[in-house]
Amino acid sequence: MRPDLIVGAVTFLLGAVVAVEAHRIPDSGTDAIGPGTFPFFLGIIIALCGAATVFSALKSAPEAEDHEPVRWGVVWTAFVLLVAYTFALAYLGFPLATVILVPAMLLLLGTRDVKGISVSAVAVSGAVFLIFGKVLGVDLPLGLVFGG
Amino acid sequence: MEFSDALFHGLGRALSIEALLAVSIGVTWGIIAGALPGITASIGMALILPFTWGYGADIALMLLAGVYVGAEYGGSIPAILIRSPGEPSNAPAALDGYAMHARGETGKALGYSLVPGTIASLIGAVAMIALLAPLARLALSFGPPEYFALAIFGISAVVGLARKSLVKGIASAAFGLVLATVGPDNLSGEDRFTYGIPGLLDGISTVTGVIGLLAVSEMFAEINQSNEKQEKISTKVRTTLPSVIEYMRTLPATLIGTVIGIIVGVMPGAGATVASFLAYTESRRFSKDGDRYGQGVPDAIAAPEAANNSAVPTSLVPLLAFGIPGSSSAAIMLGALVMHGLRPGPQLLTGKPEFVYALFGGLITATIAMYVLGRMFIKPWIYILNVPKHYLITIILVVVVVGMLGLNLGVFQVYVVLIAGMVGFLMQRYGFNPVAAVLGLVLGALIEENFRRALVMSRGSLEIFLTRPVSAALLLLALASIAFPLVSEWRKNSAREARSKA
Repeated sequence: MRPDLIVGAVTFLLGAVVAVEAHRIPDSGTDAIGPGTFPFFLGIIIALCGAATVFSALKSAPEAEDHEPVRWGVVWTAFVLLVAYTFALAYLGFPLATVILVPAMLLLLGTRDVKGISVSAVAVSGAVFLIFGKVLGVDLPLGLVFGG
Repeated sequence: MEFSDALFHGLGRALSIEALLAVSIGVTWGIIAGALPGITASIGMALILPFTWGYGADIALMLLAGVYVGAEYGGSIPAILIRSPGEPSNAPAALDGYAMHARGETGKALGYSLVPGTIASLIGAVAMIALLAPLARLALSFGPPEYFALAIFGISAVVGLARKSLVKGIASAAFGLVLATVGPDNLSGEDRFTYGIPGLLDGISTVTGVIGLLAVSEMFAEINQSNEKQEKISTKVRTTLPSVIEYMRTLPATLIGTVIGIIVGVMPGAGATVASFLAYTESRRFSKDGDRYGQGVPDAIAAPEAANNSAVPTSLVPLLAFGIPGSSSAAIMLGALVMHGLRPGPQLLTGKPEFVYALFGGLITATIAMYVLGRMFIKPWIYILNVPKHYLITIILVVVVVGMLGLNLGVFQVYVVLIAGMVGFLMQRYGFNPVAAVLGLVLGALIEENFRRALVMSRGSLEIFLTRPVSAALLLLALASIAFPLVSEWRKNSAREARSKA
């Protein structure tokens, strides 16, 4: 099965949802066209593109994937790690959350140098906190641990 | 304000300590970002964008221009040393630059990138100013139908020129336009696609979308490839630079490249990459060493490197004259201006001419900074290529989060930037065009507003877009920029099918 079959179907669905949802936006009735018209057209365009993708995928013979497979596990783990990091910022505070994130990310990426990991955990967290938090004045959360 | 006053004020602003500092920071980061594989000029600009929030709009723009200028030189460093261009626009320089490096003339190869680039960048900045005045006058005569058509043309050019599936490119642009409609409708105030989520009530901010779709997505791509071994690059290279006479010999090639860069830069969708490839092939026809291109001749580095530098200032022309960015880098600059509450276009040019002269001055100082920094630190820039990638990715991701927090848009926007990054990665992976989506997001409000205004003018008839000559011509251009590649794509596919059947 060609990946474009699924990609096209998802694109079609996305466009359809946009069109339907745009159609439901109440019309204020004063202007020539209401707030829903423009996104409605966009939804139709996206859906048509999706349909065309499915169509051409069905028509052409399946080809070998031309690039290396994605390491989905690693990429999604990184994503979840970053979301968790963002969530934890408010509770653990920037310094502590970053000291945890940096080694976790480095391990995920395949670094096994224990000294490098531990030094950079502290160094990155400290340097970013000082440069951005103190010098550039970014309001970095201290969290419940340090902020009290 | 008188012309001379505006020029004086603008240049004075560009020579202020604050501006000089901002430009130096921009150029330094630009060279680093350009040299780092995977980080292009636009990604480098997107990464530093949130930190320009605290400064004036003109300073922010000068800093971003500095990044753009610096990246075009920075990208030639890995092109010459490891044959892997830091920017797509440095790919031609990788051919002859690497050949020269292999002969032991690393310094010379770098010099043939730096000096022609400097000359081209200065000429390009002057060309930018010269082109702006007539175009801004033209822009003043534009009504809603023309603006709508121009913006559509801008997006179509980006979709059409990308070497990717066009159908998916159109879908990407439309997706970006949908993202722009999230939040309250400008004309009626009606909420759209917010579903009561508090973080979406103000819509998806341009900055968030740009950083997510362009920069964070690239970090996910780097994470995906993080198991590849990083090549260690020897920093023991000869750094003898070319002599003045040797530079003089490349002057014709430099000028050819400069002119090509200026012309191509103005056209939406094309930009530095198209310019440098075109300069490589065109200069070859005029160069004395034309038959030895590819074996490490100076002209073959000078021409494309001049072209990608002179394209930088002129690629800002559509943005400054009409408010329509023609590339992802210009889209980021638009994002910066919107972040500071400014809308570029003829009103800005006529109302605040000193602003443009400040940017002009910033481009000049950035070029000088590029030359000085590039010349002074030949070796340190090479060391950058050996920075371990894993650490780099991790630091950049932390800095992205910090930057988003610094914008004070709320933690919700950090989640949005991460999701946009994943969406951008998936789009890239499945042949979509994240740059088209970014342009859609950035131009969405302008396109929709002018579309609806035009229809109010015509009492709902779409004919207005075709009966007004400028708008009709622009829409025709937009159609052509999509149709020509579409036809050739279709032909190629049917040819392949015929072959597979045979």
